[in-house]
Amino acid sequence: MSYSTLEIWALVALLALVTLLARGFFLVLPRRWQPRGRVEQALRYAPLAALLAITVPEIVQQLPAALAHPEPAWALATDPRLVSALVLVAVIRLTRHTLWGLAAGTASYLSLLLLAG
Amino acid sequence: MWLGLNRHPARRAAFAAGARAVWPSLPAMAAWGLVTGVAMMKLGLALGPALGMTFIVYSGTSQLTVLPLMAGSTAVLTMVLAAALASLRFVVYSAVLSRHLSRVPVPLRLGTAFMTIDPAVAMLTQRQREGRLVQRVALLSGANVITALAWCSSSLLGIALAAVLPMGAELAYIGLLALFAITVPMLVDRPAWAAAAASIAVTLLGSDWPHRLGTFAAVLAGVAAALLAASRRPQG
Repeated sequence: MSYSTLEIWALVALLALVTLLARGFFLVLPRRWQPRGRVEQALRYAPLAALLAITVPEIVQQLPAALAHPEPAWALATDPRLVSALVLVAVIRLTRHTLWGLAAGTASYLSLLLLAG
Repeated sequence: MWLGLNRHPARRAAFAAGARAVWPSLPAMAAWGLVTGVAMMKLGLALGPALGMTFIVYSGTSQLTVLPLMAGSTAVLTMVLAAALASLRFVVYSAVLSRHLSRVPVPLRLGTAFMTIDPAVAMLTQRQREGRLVQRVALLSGANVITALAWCSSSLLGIALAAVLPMGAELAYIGLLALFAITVPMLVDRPAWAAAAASIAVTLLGSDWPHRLGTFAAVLAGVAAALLAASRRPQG
């Protein structure tokens, strides 16, 4: 890393501008360009789509390696990322509490990591 | 206070409701704040710029995008462009917010939008679906203040403890699980399942596209799938 103080602070200022422009983009457009009706209704699902798009590739990251393993069933059943995510979903669906699901998912992730050594 | 919370009981109630509603997403904010704080210091960023990133940039997406690039001494404008591309999902979020904030004065509108990240947008859309949206600026601000407190305090903790924390991929993955956890209660109807399926398909196809463009394409695909699924059944 080789930046002058000026360059670093220019970067901070420009990144702050990126944050403002990205998060404020549609808010400063004329009102007739802002989404309405069915598109506006469908945009409700944008956070769900975004969070899954960020998280799912990481969850299934070891999947190709597990399938190529000599014992794929065993490799899948002990894949810490995959198993912890499935445990998390099951517990949230059963208890209806996000935090219980997260606790169970984290616990199974850490114990499978320990198991793998 | 700036929202006049002490003079308006309804606003105060909405602020409290917003703060309560994002509570389940605080572990994700805390884990990612910690990871980002540690990553900035391990890279060798001085304290001032690290604090500037935390409080002025206020975007884990941008911060985590530029950190590896800074390690390779990338040009400043290239890093800004990369951060802008990685931040495209926030443009979609601004479209979500636009209807709710269109009558709010511009400074308050932009200030609120600047602070509104994933958990608060998710909270707002879930409330909207349940049909009880009152005092939206106060509702968003309640969520935003709690989220910012969790993010900034855990970033500060990461900055302070970077020398002693043996932080690796494990905490980052737990942060990711915490983000994944808040999606599960959002799978409530047909458009939601359609959005989830389309988003996952596109994000896996585009997982090696540069600048997180696969993520952005997945968001657009998710919204398009929800639009299709909802139009098949009017009340969806």
